[in-house]
Order: sequence, then structure tokens, then C-alpha cells
Amino acid sequence: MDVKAPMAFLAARHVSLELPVFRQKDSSPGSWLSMLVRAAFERPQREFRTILDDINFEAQEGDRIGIVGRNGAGKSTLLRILAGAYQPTRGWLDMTGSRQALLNISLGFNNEATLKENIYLRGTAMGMRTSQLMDLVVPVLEFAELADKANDRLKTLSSGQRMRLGFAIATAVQHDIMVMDEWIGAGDAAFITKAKDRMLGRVDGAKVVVLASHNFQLMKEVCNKGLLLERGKIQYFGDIRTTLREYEKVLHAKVEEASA
Amino acid sequence: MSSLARDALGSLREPEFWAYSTWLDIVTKYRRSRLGLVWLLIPPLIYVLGVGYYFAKLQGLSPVAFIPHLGVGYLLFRFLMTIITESSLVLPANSSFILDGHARLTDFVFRVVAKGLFYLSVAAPVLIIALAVSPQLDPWGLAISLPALLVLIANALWMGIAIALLGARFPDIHELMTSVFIFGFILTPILWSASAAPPGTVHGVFMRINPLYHLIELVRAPMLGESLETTTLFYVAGLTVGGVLITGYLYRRYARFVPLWM
Repeated sequence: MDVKAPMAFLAARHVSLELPVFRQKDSSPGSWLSMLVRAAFERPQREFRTILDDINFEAQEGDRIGIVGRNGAGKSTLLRILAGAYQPTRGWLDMTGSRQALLNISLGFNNEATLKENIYLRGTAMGMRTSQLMDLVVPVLEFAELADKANDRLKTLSSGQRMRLGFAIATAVQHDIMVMDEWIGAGDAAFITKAKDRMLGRVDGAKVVVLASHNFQLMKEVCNKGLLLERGKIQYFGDIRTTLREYEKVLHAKVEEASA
Repeated sequence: MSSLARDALGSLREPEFWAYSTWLDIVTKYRRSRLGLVWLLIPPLIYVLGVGYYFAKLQGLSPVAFIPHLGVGYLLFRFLMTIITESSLVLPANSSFILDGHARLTDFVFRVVAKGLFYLSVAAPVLIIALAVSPQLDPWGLAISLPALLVLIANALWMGIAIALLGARFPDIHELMTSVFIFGFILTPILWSASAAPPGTVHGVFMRINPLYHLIELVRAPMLGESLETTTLFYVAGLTVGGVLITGYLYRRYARFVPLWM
């Protein structure tokens, strides 16, 4: 083992998060008029809700964790904590290595600017210096298969092409830890294969990947571990196949509950 | 814990993101228009020379003397106004960056300030012409006006950061600022002269509460050889020190909550 390069490592310790939410009061209006007036004048109430509750897990170098859970289970929130956007209300993260998040595909794009300019723009947003940016353009355009569109305005791209561009930029520089939301599904089959290769580490990949998705096939192929979230708590953390089976049980139970 | 000094210095040391994104915003805005970046020059030209000439005649003043007064006042007012109003929305507008983990909030305010400075420097040729023909121009005063401009920019920075934090939490701030500035323009001696509101009068008191009056006067009065009240010096010193301290406190205390407010 090379002593100089520290192992990439990511762990959540007792991470909890409370978020303020704004709610309109639930009222049964007497008439149409009073309902309209209330909607205009009633102030929303601010209350704190626990979104994540005592999250604990560890990812060693080489781990690719798939986060699954129903809508609203807290997947995106957990990713935002791992990306460093939210600070946990309680608990903390242990982390070694550089980190890059790809949560929002439309992030920091300027529609009126050219593809090339957008590559620079997003590169700078990721904290790259001028000297690195110059070397970024060609590999990114090649990976995204958009080299012939380098000087077109970004507006002219389809959503799949944008996704390819976003993915290519975010993964162009090798980071130790990669945090990704489920938008990867927007690409065509050939690109998904290429993107999978990058995530699997076969082509300059990250050492730790955390990925949220509803795509079971993608999860099985990319991830080795799984984390099942349910109402802000970890219901299961283990190897990916068992996690997906547990997740299926949760989904199944919900369907039965609904039909009962 | 977020430190304002650390983040502001970080933004200065790594200007790539805010400088490049500002530049891209400006050039792409005018890219498809026929006149392109020339459009940047047209509003100051119309305002400083056109409105300046018209208002000078209206008040029976000499246009060559009045135009520099209005020009400097208007451009500095526009600079401060755009920074304060745009800052109130800048964090929600950049929420996708912030939610992706770009935690250095000063970068976004620097974007706003850089844009303001760019517009200000584009308008500078108009001002230089107006000043060159002005009978009042005090070349020695210019030596005071230039450092005073740095003080004004420093104040614009802390105001931008403070307003950005408040605006991220309370959408009311943006509405409030747009309303305040309608009155603020009349309250600041741009179309008129500060001597019209002497101390002791009601309108004189109102004018002297207005921080923009003092900031603009600090830059404008020396170069035009107008007299500067000592209260302005104390006011600006207090404003700068107090503002930076308060903003530092707000930033340390609240910057980490900003992503949660999005």
C-alpha cells in the first residue's frame, strides 16, 4: 500500500437533520370567499421537521453505495449532507479525500453561452484554476460526444446531451469521493454503459461513490453496497442485492396496505 | 463555522468562478444584439448628458457645472442600488450551486459587486469627459476621491453580504429594498445639491440619515471642490466599521443555515 496517498474514506456518524418547513394552516373554509381571503392573508407557520434521524454508515475505498428508498424518504437530503451543502443538526461526517457532487444536472449552466464557455464556467464552479481549465475542454467534449458542437449555444442541446455534458465535466477530474443523484438515467444506453465504466473505476473513476437511484439494474451493476432509507432512518445497510430485496419488501408492503 | 474574513479572502484569492461567471453573464446578454456591448454605454450617456442637460436648464444652472455633479452622483447611486437590490436575491438565484456544496457564499456577492464595478467602469469615459470640461474640477480633490471610492466599494461589499443573508431568509427584504430605493433616489442629492437641505431642517435630517448620501458625497465632493461636512466623515467611519462587524457576526452565525432556507 502506498503510504503517501491516504485512503479515501467516508462515514456518517449519528447524522440527524431538522429542516424548517413552512405550512399553511389547515382550515375548513366556510365559503369560497373566506377561503380566497385566507389564502391571501394567513401567514405560513414555520415548524421544524426531522428529515434524517441518526444516520450511521461507513464507506471504505472501493465502496460504491446505492441509496434507495421511497419518495420523500430523505435520499436527496442525505446526498446534500454528503455533498457538504447541509450541515447536520446533530452528528458529523468523517471524510478523507477530495469530494465532488453531481446532484443537479442543470447546475450552473448558462444557456446563452457556448458549450466551451459552459465547460469553463462549471469548471470554475468546481474550484478549478485557470491552468486546469484549458486542459478540460477536449476530454470533456470527447467523452460527452459533443466535440462538433463546441461553439454552439447550450440552449440548442437536448436534455440527454446536457446530461452527458454535465456528467463529463463533473467526472473529468478524478475525485476520491463522488456523490450522485439519480439523473444518470437520462442518457441513452451507449452513454450509460460509458458512464457506468467511469463510476466502476475502470476508467479513471472515483474511489468512493454514493449514488441514489430508482433504477435497480443500474444499482446492481454499479454498487456493491446498499442503504435503504425509510422515513429518515436507515432501515437496512449491507450488500446491494439484500438491500434491494429489503426495498422490494417495503414497496410490496405499501402496495398491500393500499389495496387492503 | 463560516468566517467572513476567511471566505472573502478565499474569494479574492480564487477569483475564477465569480469573475468568469460575471463576464459570461455580461457578454452573453448582449451577444445577439446588433450593438452588442455598446448598449452598456447608452444608459449612462442618456442619463448623464441628456438628463443632466435638461435638469440644469430646468433649475437655471450651467450644464457644464451640473452635469458632473449629476453624473458622479447617478453612477455611484446606481452602483450601490444594483448591488443592494441584486444581493437580496443572489443566494436563492444561485441555490443550485449552494445545494451542490458550493459553500463559499461570498463568491456570489462578489459576482454582484463585480458586475456593478464593470458597469461603473464602462460608464467612466462619459464621466471623464464631463469632468474634463467642468469648471469645478479639483485635481487635488481627485486624490481624495479615489481612495474614498475604495471605501465606498468596501461598504458596498458588506452591505451586499448582509443583504444577501437577510434576503435568503426573508423574501420581504427584496420587496423592501425596491420600495426604499424609489424614495432613496429622491432623498439623495443627485438631481439637486446637498446645500438645498441644510442641517436643522426636516429634509436636512432625512438626507443625513441616508447612508448613500454620505458615501456618495465622500467621493463626489472632493473632486468637484464642494465642501464636505465633518459629520459625513464620522458617519462613514462608523458605517464602515459597524457594518463590517455586524456582517461578520451575521455571517458567522447564519451562513451555514443558508442551504436550509432554500
